[in-house]
Amino acid sequence: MKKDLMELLCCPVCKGELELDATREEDGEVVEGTLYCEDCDETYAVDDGIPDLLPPEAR
Amino acid sequence: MTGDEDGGSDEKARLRETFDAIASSFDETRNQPWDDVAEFVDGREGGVALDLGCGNGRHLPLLRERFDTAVGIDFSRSMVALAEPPVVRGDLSALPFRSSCADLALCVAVLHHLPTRAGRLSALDEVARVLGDDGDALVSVWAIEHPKFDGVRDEIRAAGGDHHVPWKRGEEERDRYYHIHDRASFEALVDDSSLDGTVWDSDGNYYARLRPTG
Repeated sequence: MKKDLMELLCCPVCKGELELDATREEDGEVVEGTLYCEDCDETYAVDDGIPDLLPPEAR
Repeated sequence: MTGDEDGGSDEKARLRETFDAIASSFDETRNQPWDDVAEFVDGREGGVALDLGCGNGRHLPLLRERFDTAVGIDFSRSMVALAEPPVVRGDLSALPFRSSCADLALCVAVLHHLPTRAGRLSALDEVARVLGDDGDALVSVWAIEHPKFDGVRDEIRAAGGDHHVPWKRGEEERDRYYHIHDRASFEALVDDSSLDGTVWDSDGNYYARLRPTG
């Protein structure tokens, strides 16, 4: 995912801001990493460039 | 068991497994945009378009011709992996998109997969939330008048609209959950949501062009 996608994304549960932590990047795009919602204390994965933002109860 | 009896979560999990399993064969036969969608998008342009329940991303190229950014979302990991990024995995009833971020949203042939009316309603309310003031959405569901349901219409009505449609591919057979709407039930769903607009039928589907209310 490109980092500017963060301008559109939010937490699926509380709709608050997500904090991106990229653990692997290629050509300026995030391949692996996490998206963290501080309000919910919940972590979502970025896996193979795709953010997985299914709410926890739907996983 | 119907979707409403188990709160929908088991039905939804089963459906997701099915879509994950059938993704590649689905992709072989469903890669062209629908005419009604092309017509809706034609002449439109803007910053952000969302394809809610994008499946294999068949409508994303069409949106990207006209919008600066078009993001697809689907609950099936295998489906979004087939689509051209940017795509996100997520749930229609709990969208991970910021409020008022979109100029246009598509929700095509997907609402009828949500197993409870509450889930379908919250999906429409989420569409309303992510649309900007001037944004609008095209929403479609399968209509009970579709020729596919010849011979099973009474059975579907008796089940309150809940129906399973088999997917066959060679030896493999799975079924997928659908809630089959008639015009009255689709209009009532729209009426109860935070969206407003007109409903029409085309090619065995009901379509609605919707804007957030007030």
